[in-house]
Amino acid sequence: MRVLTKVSKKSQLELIQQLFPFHIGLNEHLNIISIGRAISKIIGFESQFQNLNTLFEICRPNIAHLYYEDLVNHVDTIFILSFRKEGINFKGQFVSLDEEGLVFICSLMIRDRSLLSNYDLKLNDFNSFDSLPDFLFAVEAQQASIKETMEISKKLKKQKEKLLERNEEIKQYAYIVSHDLQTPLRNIISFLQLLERSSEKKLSSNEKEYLDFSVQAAKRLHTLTQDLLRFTNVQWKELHFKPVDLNVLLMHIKNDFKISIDESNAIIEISNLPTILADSTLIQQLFQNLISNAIKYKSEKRPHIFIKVVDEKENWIFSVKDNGIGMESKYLENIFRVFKRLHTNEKFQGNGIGLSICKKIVNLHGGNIWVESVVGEGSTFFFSIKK
Amino acid sequence: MYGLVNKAIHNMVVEKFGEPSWNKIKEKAGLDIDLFLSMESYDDAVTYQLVGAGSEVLDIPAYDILVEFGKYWVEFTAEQGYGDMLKMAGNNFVEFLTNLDNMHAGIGYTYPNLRPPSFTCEVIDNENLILQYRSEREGLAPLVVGLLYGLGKRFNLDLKIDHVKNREQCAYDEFLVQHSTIQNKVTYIESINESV
Repeated sequence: MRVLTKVSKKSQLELIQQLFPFHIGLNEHLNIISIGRAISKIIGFESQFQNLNTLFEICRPNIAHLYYEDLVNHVDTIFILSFRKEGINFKGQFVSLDEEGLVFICSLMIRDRSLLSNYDLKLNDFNSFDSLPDFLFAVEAQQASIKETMEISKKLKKQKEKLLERNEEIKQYAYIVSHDLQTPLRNIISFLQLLERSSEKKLSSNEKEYLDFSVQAAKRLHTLTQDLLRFTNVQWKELHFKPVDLNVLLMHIKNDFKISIDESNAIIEISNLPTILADSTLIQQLFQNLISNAIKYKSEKRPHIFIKVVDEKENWIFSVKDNGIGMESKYLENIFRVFKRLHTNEKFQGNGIGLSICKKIVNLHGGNIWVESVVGEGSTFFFSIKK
Repeated sequence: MYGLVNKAIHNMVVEKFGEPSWNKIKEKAGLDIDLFLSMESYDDAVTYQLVGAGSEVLDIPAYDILVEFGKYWVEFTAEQGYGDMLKMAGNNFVEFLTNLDNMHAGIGYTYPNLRPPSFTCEVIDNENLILQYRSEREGLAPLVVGLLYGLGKRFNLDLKIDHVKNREQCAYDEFLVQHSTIQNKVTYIESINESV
């Protein structure tokens, strides 16, 4: 309860009329003697002289009935009164006018701004320290923002559907190119080789050379379709994550590479490796590709390959280091792109798919792949795998 | 400026000139933004670039674009879910302009980084008023002209607007607005359509 003093009763009410568009002036019987211009739009000027308890129900504090004496005793209490006719709540405090009357100074308690237009309440019906219009605008802006987010979400969903559709088409296309071309290519190679053998004595040396070019070209095309098939298989493979002991996996890979290791006289050193959660087929393919590259791009020195791991908080950082020919720094950025080759087919055979498969595999495991290299000294391929 | 302004420019261009024109404007403005979020704050330069690029691509003076945008803004904000706020500003032209500054002051509660313009309205008589406009941003007075025409349309009024003072003279813009119940089309709309 606040008390206005040092102002005559009439002046006090006039002052309140001017300052508080939401107020109800009461006499000692709690009959209404004055109504603010804004609250009158809701409860009506005809409410004058009616009793407060007839028009309003008390929501807070939890008391059944309002008495003048009670209000005098409720210092600083926030009251919430509900207008019985419309069910609209008002929140405010009672202020004593030199103990000859009371004023309920309040504001509306609503969340729905449209209610304001029902009562034709405008911005200038609220005094400057009533933040209700600002609060209602904030609610309106948030609702508009939610609507906007939902519209964006719908658009994204449609775009995703389109992309999935397009992806499916590309998948089919890649499958047809890489899979369905293999059988006719195998036939071309076989029949060219048959022709080569059956007509060996009848052909001139030039004709033999032409035929040999055709066989080699068909073989390269066959390899390319096989690699493409591998690439598309990785791209759309269903992942099966399970714990993979890399020490065991690398032991198998070393056995698989026995012939090329023996032929190149390579040394492969492997540090103690962890067990990781991964798709074992893909991880095997990743190490196979990197080791195969390390042997393939050897220098004149005896190939020496080191496979290590570093524990880095959330990731394992693996490295496959070789002492091969290395690469110029300008090529390092693009070597993981599909079909990107640094060497001619005459020098080193290949299609430029191997490293793009590696990148895809690492990405599928939530990691990154990168390379450091010095020409003539060798390359180190790093990749991270999430723990 | 908040994204709602740029979003309105986007919508206006697409509605009146089509998506390809918008893409050209975006490209000309050097903007790599697919969509504007209403409650996100963007650099003012984005809006100025859009208006400048729009003027070049559509071959319409920047002044006319801003006027057209001001008119569009009144309908756009109502459609975007701010209709109740507009209703609360007033049932008639004068009441709306009187509350315009209150409205901008209150919007700061929702948009904390907003640097809103300020408006004062002085009623001369039943058909004439003076609106003063102050803003820390330069060159947007034509937008206020458009806003007034947009409000004229909202309240079914015929307007005559004189830009009697500008910020170069006295640090603010002042408009003398004559308003009467609509009888003829607003002349400005006709001239815009001709230039388009």
